[in-house]
Amino acid sequence: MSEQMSFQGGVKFLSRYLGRHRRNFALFYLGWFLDSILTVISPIIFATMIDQIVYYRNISVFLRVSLVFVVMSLFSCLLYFLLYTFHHYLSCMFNFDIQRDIFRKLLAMDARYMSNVKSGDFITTLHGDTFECLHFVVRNCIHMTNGVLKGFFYIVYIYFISIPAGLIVTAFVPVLIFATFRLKGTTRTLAEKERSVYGNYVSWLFEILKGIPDLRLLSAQGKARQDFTGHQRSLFSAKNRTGIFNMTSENIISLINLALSLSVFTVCAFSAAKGNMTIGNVIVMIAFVAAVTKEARQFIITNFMDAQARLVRIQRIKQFLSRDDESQWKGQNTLWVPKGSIEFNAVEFSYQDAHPVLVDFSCTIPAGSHFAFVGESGCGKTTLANLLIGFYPLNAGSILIDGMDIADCSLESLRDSIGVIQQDVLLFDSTVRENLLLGNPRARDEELWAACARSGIADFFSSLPESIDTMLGKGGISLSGGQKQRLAIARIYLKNPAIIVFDEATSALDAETERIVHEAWENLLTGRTAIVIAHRQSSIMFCDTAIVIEGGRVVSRGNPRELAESDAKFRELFAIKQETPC
Amino acid sequence: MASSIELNIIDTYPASLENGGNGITVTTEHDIPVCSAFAYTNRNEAMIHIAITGITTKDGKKYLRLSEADTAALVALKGSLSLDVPSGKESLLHRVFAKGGKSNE
Repeated sequence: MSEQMSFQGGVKFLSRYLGRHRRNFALFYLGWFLDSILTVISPIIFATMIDQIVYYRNISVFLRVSLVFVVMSLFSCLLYFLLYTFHHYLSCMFNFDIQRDIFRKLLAMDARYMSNVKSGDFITTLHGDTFECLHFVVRNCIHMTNGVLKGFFYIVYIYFISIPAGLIVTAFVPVLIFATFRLKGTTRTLAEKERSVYGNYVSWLFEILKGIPDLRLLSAQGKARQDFTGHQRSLFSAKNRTGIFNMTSENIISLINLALSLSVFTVCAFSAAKGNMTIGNVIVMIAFVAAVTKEARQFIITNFMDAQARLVRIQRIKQFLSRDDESQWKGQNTLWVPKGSIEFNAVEFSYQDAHPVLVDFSCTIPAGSHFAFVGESGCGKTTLANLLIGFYPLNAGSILIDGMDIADCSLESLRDSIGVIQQDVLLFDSTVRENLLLGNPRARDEELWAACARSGIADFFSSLPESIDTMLGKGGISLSGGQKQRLAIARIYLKNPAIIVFDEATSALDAETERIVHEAWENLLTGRTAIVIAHRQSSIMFCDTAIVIEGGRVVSRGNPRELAESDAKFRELFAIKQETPC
Repeated sequence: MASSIELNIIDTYPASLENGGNGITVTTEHDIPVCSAFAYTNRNEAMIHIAITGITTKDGKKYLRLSEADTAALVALKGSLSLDVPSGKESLLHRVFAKGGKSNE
C-alpha cells in the first residue's frame, strides 16, 4: 500500500493544473472572498437597523440602512450567479486538462500496465476521480480558507461583544479538533475501501458486457447473476459502512455544536436581561454562533472528511500519471530499414523475474524472407513480436533491424517500419475511409482505392451505399472476419512498412476465407520481410523457414514442408492441432 | 452608499435619579452636553427620550434641567440611571468595519 497523500500533497499535485488558469482562479477566489465579507457584515448591518429602530426610534436611518441591506442582497445574488457561471467554466477547463493528461498517459502506458488494466477502473479514474479534483480545490481549499477566516472573525467578534461567550466558543474549538482527528482516519479508510469495491465492480461489468455472447454459449448466466449480486452486496456493504460512519460523525459534531449554541445563548440571555447587550447584539451573536457551528460542520464534515475521500481519488490520478510509460524508452535514433533483415541475439526476457519467457533466443531473419514462429501456447511467439515492436525492453541480448539495435531507435520510427496484423482488427465507429486512414493519415483517395484493390476488398467497399464514406460499427455496417482482415491488409499497404508481423491473424477464419486472405497476403509480402505466428499449418506453409519454439528456445528450424516430413516436434504440434475436436 | 449614511455616535453616562422634596432630579458627575438624550435603567426594558435644557452645578454635583413632561416620564425609573447622549456622527461603513456595529464608544 502506498503512502497516503497529505493535504499539502494534493494541493502540490493540483497546483500544476491551477497554474494554467492562475488568473481565473484568482478572480474566482476573489469572488468567494467578497461573498464571505458580505456574509460576515450582513448580520452586523441588520443589527444596526434593529438597534436604530428599537432604541432610538430613528426611522430615517432605519430605512436608509434597510436600503443598503437590500442592495447588498441583490449584489449577493448577482455575485452567486457570476461565481457559479465561472465555476462551470473552470470545471470544464480544469477537468479537461487533467483528463487530457490521463488520456495521453494511457496512450503512452507501457505494455505491462495495458495487459493488466481494468477498463472500469480506468474509466472511473478518467471521469469520476477528475471531477473530484475541482471539488477539492473549490470546497476543500477555497471554501475552507474562507471558512477559517470567517470562523476566526466570528470568534473575535463574539469576544468583542461578550468575553464569556467568546471563552465558551474558544473552549469548544479543541473539542471539535479532537473529534475531527479521531474521525478522519476511519473516514479515509472507508472511502478507500468503497472506491476500490466500486472500481472492481465497474471493471467486472465491462468484462461482462464484452463477454455476454460467451456467457450465453457457456450457459453461465446463473454464475453472472450470482457475481452481480455479490458485487452489489459488497458495494452496498461498503457504502453502508461509509454512510453510517459519516452520519455518526455528523451527529457527534452536531451534539458538540448544540452544546456550544446553548451555552452561548444562555450567556446572551443573562446579558440582555441585565441590559448589557442590545437586541441587535443578541441577533448578531445568534447569527455568528450559528455561523461558527456551520463553519465547524463544513470544516470537519464537508471540507475535512470529504477532503480525505477526495485525496484518495487525487492520489489515484497521481499514481496513474507517475507510472512507467514508453517515454522511458531510451532510443532516440531514427530507424532506417532499407532491406528488412532482423537478428535476435541471445534475447532473454521475462514478464516476472522468476518466470523467464525467452532464454538465450537467437535467430536471423534475412531481408525479404518469410519466417514462421510456431510452438505451443505460452512458448514465447507473441512475446517475440511484442519485443520486436518495442512493447517491452529486453532483459538481455539485442534485436537488430538492418544492423541497427532497436534499443537505440525511437519507438515511433520502429513502429513506422513494422506493420502488425492481429486476429482482432481495431475498427472505430466511423467511416471506412477514416478506418483506412489509420494506416496513413495523409493518403489520397486514389491511394486508398489502390490499397483496397490490392487487398481484395475494393469491390466490396465500392458496392456500399456511400462507398468508403459508409459508417462502420454502431449505426453502420458490420464487417465479417475476412473483410476485417483485408481492411487491415489495406492499412498495411497504406503504411508500407518493410517488415510485417502476422500474429494469429487468420486463426478465427474458416478455411475458405483464410484461403482468400492468404491470397491477399501473397501480394502484400512481395519484397517484404514477414514473421507469421500461427497455430494452423495452413497459415505457415508459404513461409521460407519455420522456427519451432519450446520453453523460450529454438528447438528446430527449417522449411515448413521439410519439417512436416522430418521434425517430430513440428509434426506433433500440428497433429495435436488437427486432432483437436471442433 | 454605506459611507453616506450617517449614524449617531452615542456616549453613555451614569447618572442618579433622586426623588426629594423638590420632586425628581437627575444628577451626574460627568460633563454632559445640553441636548436630547435617552434615559434608562435597563435599555431592554424602557428607554425614555428626554431633552436636557440646562445643567446646574451645586456642591460638585451636576443637576440636569428637564421639562415637566420628561421629569414625569422618569417616575417609572428607579435607582441608577444611564444616559445615552449623541456626541457626533459616523458613517455606516465606519460603524460596521471599525466598531463592529456597536453604537457606543
